Amino acid sequence: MNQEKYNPVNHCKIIRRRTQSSTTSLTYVGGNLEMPPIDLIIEILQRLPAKTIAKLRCVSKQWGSLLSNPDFTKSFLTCSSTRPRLLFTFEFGGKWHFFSSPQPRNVDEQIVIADYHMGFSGDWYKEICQSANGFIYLYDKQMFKEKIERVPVICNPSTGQKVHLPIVIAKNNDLRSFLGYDPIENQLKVLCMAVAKYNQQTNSREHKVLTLGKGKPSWRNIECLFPHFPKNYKNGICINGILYYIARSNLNTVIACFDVKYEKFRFIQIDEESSILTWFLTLINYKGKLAALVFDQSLHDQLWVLDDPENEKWSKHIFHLPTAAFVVIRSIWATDSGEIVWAPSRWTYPFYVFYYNMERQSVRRFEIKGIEEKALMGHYRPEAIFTFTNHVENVMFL
Amino acid sequence: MSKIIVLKCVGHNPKDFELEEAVAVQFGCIKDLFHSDFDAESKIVVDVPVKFNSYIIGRIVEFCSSRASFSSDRAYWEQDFFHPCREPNQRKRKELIAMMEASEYLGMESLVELTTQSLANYLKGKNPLTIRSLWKVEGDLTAEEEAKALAMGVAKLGH
Repeated sequence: MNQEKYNPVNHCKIIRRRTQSSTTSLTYVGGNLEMPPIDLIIEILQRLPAKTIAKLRCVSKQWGSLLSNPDFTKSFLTCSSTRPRLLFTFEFGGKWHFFSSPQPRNVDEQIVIADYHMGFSGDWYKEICQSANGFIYLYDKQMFKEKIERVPVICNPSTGQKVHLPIVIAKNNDLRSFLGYDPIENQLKVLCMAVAKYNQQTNSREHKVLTLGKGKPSWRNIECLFPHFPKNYKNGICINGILYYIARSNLNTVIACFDVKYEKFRFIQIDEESSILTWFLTLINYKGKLAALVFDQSLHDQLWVLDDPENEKWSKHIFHLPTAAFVVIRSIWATDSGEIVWAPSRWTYPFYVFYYNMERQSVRRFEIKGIEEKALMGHYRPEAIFTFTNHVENVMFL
Repeated sequence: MSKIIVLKCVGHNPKDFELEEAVAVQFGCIKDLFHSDFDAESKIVVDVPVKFNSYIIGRIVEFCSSRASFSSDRAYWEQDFFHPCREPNQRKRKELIAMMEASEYLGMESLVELTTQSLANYLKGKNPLTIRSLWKVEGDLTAEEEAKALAMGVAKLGH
């Protein structure tokens, strides 16, 4: 909506450009003269934490529909992506628990308080839980035809929503699942495959995909012509609509690249020598590029960054993990500024999160308070903690 | 001879604000005028819509003048500038909202960001009643509907 005023002689035009409102489908809220324009309301709301947004759905019907509007949830997600949080997920006592905290920013901040989000019944399986675009994929235990079955669940700690998905019907029970997000179609998909031994090699079979958000979710079979074995206990990572995970194929390490939108597989081969001498610990998103934390036999830790995906060219950087106990660390991530972050997978008290600066090769640590006090209360110790940094708050409902 | 921009406020308490170039360039909508063909000697008069009263425009001009005069400790000063609005003071909150709307109209992105952030800080953790009283919104959900909206997530969310 442009407002032009032209005045003669030495009076002036003010041309006001409204970049947002011309494309939004939202209208004035409340028909209330006191209410600022919708653009400004959104500017305010998108800076609020997801918990407050959840409460504000009760303000009025129009506010409820404003907060559910895709334009708003998209705006909110863009804003929350600039302030990613730490999400702590763990299962104990047959329940999944979620806590989150802001990322510790400055050097002076030693302690960070985590807020409790939600909890529901669950089951930890050897696959670790996955995270994409603010949603988490994990398992619940449910009775199904008089048998306890592992049921996949998608949940969103920011809204409290959880969706039970249909059980995967496969020829065997050894499953690998990954959660991917396609930013073009704004769709979450789960990739699942069974692994089986055949001709003395373990490979993936029966590749299935489930798309969320479009009617009743169901598993569809897709094709994968390249037999590979997704590694145990390794998570996948989704960058710009491509889901990456570490796999083995004929004794060589490969990195699977699954295009979430087109549901096609591609593989990055790691040469034989490197496959034998090195151990790919985990994949991370390093400043927008795919990177791998690699452990080699000369006891050096390295960060391999895929600078040139077309030609599969990696740059290698030394990375000193100060603790020898890195084998039990399943949660290693990189911040937007390129710091490597990790947290132990076993509960400790006090519980620390570590930030490693690649340039200075220095580590700082922050204590996370609130988990012991609010959930554990000295009684139980969780099996494993999965810590996700760069968790974005997403107020979208599936 | 630098140009002078005059902001002409009408309405209840009419007032003209003379701005020097250093101050005026912070107004996104005025910035472009400095590249126009106007004679350097002339005063350029800008009419401000009546809904933005002279007090609010005065506060904005005060903000821009201080900004133009120093650059250090800006973050601290800006916090301080908005401090009165963090108190539970309705008049100050209305002022903050008016400043937000005026700065949006005048094309001052940084001030829009500061004001919206201040309001977000105020609203953080508040319940629906705060919004209703702030903007005179009528709650039109039945008890059932409210329970349903809460069940969508709040009931499961910790405090």
